[in-house]
Amino acid sequence: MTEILVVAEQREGVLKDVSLENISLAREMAGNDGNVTVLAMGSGIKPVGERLSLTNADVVLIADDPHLKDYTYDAYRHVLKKVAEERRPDVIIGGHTSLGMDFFPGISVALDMGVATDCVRAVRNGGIVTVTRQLYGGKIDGEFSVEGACIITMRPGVCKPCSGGSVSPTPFAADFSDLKNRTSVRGYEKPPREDVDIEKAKIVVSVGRGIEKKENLPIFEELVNSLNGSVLAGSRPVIDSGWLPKGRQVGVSGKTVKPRLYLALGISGAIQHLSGMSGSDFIVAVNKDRDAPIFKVANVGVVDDIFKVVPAIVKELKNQAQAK
Amino acid sequence: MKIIVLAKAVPEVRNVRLALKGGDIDRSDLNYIINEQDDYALEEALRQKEKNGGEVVVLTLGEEAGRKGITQMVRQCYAKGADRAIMALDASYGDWDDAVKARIASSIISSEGADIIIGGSQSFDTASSRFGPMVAELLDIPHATLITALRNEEGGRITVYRDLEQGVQEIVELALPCLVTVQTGINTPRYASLNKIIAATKKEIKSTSLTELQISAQQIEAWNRVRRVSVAFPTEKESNTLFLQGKPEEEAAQLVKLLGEKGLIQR
Ligand SMILES: Cc1cc2nc3c(=O)[nH]c(=O)nc-3n(C[C@H](O)[C@H](O)[C@H](O)COP(=O)(O)OP(=O)(O)OC[C@H]3O[C@@H](n4cnc5c(N)ncnc54)[C@H](O)[C@@H]3O)c2cc1C
Ligand SMILES: Nc1ncnc2c1ncn2[C@@H]1O[C@H](COP(=O)(O)O)[C@@H](O)[C@H]1O
Repeated sequence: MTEILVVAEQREGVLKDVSLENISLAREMAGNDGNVTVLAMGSGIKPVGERLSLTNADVVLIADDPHLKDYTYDAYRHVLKKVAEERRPDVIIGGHTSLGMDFFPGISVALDMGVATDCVRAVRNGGIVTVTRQLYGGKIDGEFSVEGACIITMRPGVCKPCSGGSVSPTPFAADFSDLKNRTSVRGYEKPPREDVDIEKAKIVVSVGRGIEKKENLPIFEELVNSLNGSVLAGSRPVIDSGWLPKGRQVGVSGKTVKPRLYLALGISGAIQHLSGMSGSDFIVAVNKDRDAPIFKVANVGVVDDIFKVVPAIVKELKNQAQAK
Repeated sequence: MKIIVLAKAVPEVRNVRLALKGGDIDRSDLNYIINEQDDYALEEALRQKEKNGGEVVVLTLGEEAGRKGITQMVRQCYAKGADRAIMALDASYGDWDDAVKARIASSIISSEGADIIIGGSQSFDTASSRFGPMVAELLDIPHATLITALRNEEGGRITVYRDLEQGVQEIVELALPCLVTVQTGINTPRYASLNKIIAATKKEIKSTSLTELQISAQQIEAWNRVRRVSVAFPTEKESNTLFLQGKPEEEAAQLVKLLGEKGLIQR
């Protein structure tokens, strides 16, 4: 019988959406007579068990223990190894998140299973898992096949969440007496509050590495000044370089914005950026590379030089204001 | 302190029209550059050396066909201050799963020995974020990924900040020896001066091979679990992107008009 194991992810007792998405994928892979097991790890995670009990998984295992309060590779590996020994999964599915990136590659070696990460599609046919992954910054799609029992991590948001159901969670008691933890979490730091709240703005003017240097910022600030209700934001390299403060970063490790209008200027459209802005109502992209992935989510595309187009937009807006 | 930097040469594809060839992209005309995050990894290693003394060794694996570009990348690392470099190139590299590459790397690293191994958290071309943690598990040492700060502590430990979602940082302490993968922004990588690059052309790069490492074709076969079936350009999903045409002024005028009509900007 096919056994698919989903490793659910939670933070502070809140289940991540990607876990529900992965249960639906697991259901597909398990077929009619297969079994879907979900494992959640943490400490004081009753709400997670409750949420998982309302899904169409077959078995929900809850490893609730103070050793699992924070994610550490050693404690998670300790539990997953035991669960995998008991259940012998054909496929283990996790999320391609900061936790997933840290955890699954190593555990694949420990369990001697192949691993494919950041998959945007995965199917299992005749015991073989085939996945699609994005390569070269989204310019190429690659299809890969994974031999034998394997681990895959899915990109958040690519599968639909699973259907409802009813399953009572089973506690999974792991003995931690032989655990030697080589890392310890000392705490967390939340991002500082910023002067400008880019999540609330109606218009976000977002600049990328295409602006080349800090000295060029005024060109884009001028656009912000001539657009009512707009704020200036940027992609990660712009923030890394210290050209804009951290609170202005759009993307998976920054902020998620959904303005009425998003202007992407000199931004290539890496997935970590797209996940923070693709929910915007209307997207305009200016980039001189016709093949930049940003154009896949744009409503309007301008394949041209931002240093020519942006001043022209500013001029046009000024002309209009004067004509009124 | 001995530090090994995992550095990968990746093809530069920004502003390039890619072409497909034999189940992969055609790399013959592409330039190789150091993977962005690996440049930050090297910088972090150099700073550690400047503070604590020691040695920085660059380790790179790659395809034989890319020898020229990979050699250039290593010279750049030398020009910035790396002490030694080890290069393992193979004609079959392009067909290998990271599990194979990680095993080759860990075999080299275990005979070298190191206090810290620093790599990137993701490579630009294959973007799988697998390599570092796999190497750590193979070497049986602790690891931390996506780090944005590294601090030395008393008693052979380090503290790192890990970049989680939404700007949250996780503070983790780990014992040496260990492996960390860096996120961009951890530092500002230095530039290598032309003089130093020229001087670096004379510096020796150590080459090693599967034969020397006593790794057999059968082992490679057994480790190679994830195989590339095909590559393709993404299918343009019913793209309803409206591309504006004309000179910059014309594009700007069309854009402002369109946004005004849609009520997205106030006129
Ligand atoms: C775990 C993780 C988390 C991440 N989190 C984030 C995040 O939260 N937010 C984020 O943005 N990124 C994030 N990244 C980084 C992401 O992968 C990309 O590296 C980044 O988004 C690229 O930024 P960019 O588009 O500005 O730069 P590039 O990819 O370098 O693109 C610059 C673009 O500008 C264009 N250009 C250059 N000059 C001009 C010109 N004169 N006119 C017009 N166009 C021009 C080029 O054609 C190119 O497409 C993360 C990465 C990782 C691994
Ligand atoms: N061929 C390679 N040679 C040296 N280091 C590599 C190689 N491939 C990957 N790495 C390291 O592993 C990191 C993550 O790569 P990846 O797992 O491919 O996303 C890179 O940033 C490098 O530090």
